[in-house]
Amino acid sequence: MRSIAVGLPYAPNNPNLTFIFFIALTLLSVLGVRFSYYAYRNRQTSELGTGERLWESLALAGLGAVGFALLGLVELLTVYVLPFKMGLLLAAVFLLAVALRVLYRSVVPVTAGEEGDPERGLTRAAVVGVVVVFAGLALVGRHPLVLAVMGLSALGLALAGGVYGRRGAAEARVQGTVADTLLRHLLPVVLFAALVPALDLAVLVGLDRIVVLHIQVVFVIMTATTLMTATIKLRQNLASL
Amino acid sequence: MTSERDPRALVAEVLTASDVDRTHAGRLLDLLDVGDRQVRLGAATALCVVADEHPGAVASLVGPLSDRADERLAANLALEYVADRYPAVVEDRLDQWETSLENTHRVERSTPTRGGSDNREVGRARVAGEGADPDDRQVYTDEEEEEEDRPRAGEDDAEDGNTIGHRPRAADAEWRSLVEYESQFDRLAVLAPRERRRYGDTYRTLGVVDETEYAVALRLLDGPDGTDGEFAATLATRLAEWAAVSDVENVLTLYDWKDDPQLWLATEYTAETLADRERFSTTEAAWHAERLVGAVSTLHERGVVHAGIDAQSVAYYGNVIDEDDRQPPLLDNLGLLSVYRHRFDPSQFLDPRYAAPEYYQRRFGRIDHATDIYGLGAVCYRLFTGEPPYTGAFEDVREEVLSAGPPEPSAIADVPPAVDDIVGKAMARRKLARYETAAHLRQELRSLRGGDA
Repeated sequence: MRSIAVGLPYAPNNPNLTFIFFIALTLLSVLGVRFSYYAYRNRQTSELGTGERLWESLALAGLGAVGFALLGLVELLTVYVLPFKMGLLLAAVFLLAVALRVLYRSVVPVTAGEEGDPERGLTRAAVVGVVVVFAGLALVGRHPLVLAVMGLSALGLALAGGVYGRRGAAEARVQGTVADTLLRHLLPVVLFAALVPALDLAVLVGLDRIVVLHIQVVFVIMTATTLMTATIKLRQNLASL
Repeated sequence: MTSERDPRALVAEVLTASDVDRTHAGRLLDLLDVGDRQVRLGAATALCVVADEHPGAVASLVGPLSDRADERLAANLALEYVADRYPAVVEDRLDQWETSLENTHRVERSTPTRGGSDNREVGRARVAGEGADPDDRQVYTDEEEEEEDRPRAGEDDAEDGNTIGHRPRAADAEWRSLVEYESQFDRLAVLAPRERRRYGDTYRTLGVVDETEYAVALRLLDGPDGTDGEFAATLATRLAEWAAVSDVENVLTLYDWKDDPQLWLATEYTAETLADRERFSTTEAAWHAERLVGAVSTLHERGVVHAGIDAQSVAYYGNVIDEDDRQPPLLDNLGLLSVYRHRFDPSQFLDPRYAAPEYYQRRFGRIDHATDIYGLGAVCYRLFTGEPPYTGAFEDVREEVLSAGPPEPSAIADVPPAVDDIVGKAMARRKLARYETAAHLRQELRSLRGGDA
């Protein structure tokens, strides 16, 4: 009887981990689709200027996570190697960070002379980082330099999201509002989704990749579950529109 | 013999005869005291017919009817009818009757809030439009001057009968009796002339249930004609919700409501609204705001949305003896706007200066609990500053609501900066930037305790 080559590229020679990844990525793809769908419905229902960018960012972020999950499933079920899937997850993290900023700024607009320019500069840097990682992974694969840029970008984006979340918690104009709750729901999504690519930094410092993969699968599941709770908030908001 | 005849046959004969014999009046008066309610009501109607046919008999009917009016709804009904038909005669007779009664039963009538004296007042009020008698003044002194300023109803019947917003008085008597019959109250005595308020004409009345008296505002609701079943059904649902949450603190109690003979509701009587009051100190304003927000928070927990909170939907009893006494704010008109706004111009029922953006443009979302939070924010603005959030003509207000927020409260009045944040968040144009729940708003209002400016 011929053995079937399953999960070799993603979790080599580890059927248990392959199975856990299969569950995790299926979960993430389904919940990511739900998240994107409700973000899109909010976008369609809300016609307000600032609302559009928020819902668009969230819908695209959900699709980024879905893309990562689907490519991961392809790796699990076929022999194709698709390292650039992590670039999609990084893009999702970037879009979530943008959504957090848009949400925060919809309540606390930038006043004249205040940090508007640094925000734009950081956004450009983040875009460059995501593009470099995606292109690098697609062209040269898991090169240490690309992994380093990816990990550091993910940490930077998680940090940016965390800053907006903390500011919202401290800002009197945000506390207790719907925006405040949405910020609090999206913050864990950003953090867990960012930790998945960021963990590849551990490989660079010598940790066994199989160990890193075991930890990554945990954060993939956490990303999926936090997306699910954030979806509840999107549905509630949709109901009031 | 006539006196031995079946009461029903006698009533039927009087009601159907072309030439009514006035000698039946005595027997009919006796029938007002029998146990069968149907006979009593029939006898009352028959007495009305006798009075119509024989105006000369009216004077002799007033005394016996007044005697029975304390105990018998049917006698009251006949007295009201006769009083409307022959105001001058009834007035004279009642004066004589009351004088003799006071001489002989002074001790008995000195009970301040006896329903009996109010029932006698019913007939008088409709004839002469006079204020409450001296005994009643001990309870309801605040309306006295107002009533004395009103024209005598008996005198202006002819003009008032066709005036828009004023029904003919004979029709008033009819529906009031029907409402009394349909309501949970044993008696409903009208204490003051009708006032035009939101959603309909309102009467200040005294309701009696098991000898317990209640100050009642009896409101005849405006509405489309009786053929609009959907409107009536939706309104019934909302009123049922209101009745179910009447136990919530700082919500005006809805005692009763029905759609027969037309839509009416009976609530606690309140004399004034927030719109009538002066500016409060910061501590007082915070106290009132906290209570209102607490009430709305409980309503939301029970799944009820007010949907029309403004300064006029916050009522006050207005009958404190000591000016320093705090009057609790009471939320009025629960859920009514959500029914009326689909059939009538909403600006009749909600002050546009307090209306949320979603009332002006659909793109701001549905009317839901977030709309209540906006309304609470606008009411807080009024409480803390003494001014409504916006001023000007409707179009100007609309433009400002949709494009810019109101001036900050601290720019209008001397209030702590925290009020700016609280009101700003509650009145945010976009629901995303509004308080998520009334409980959050209440929590932040608590921080203002003791922070009088």
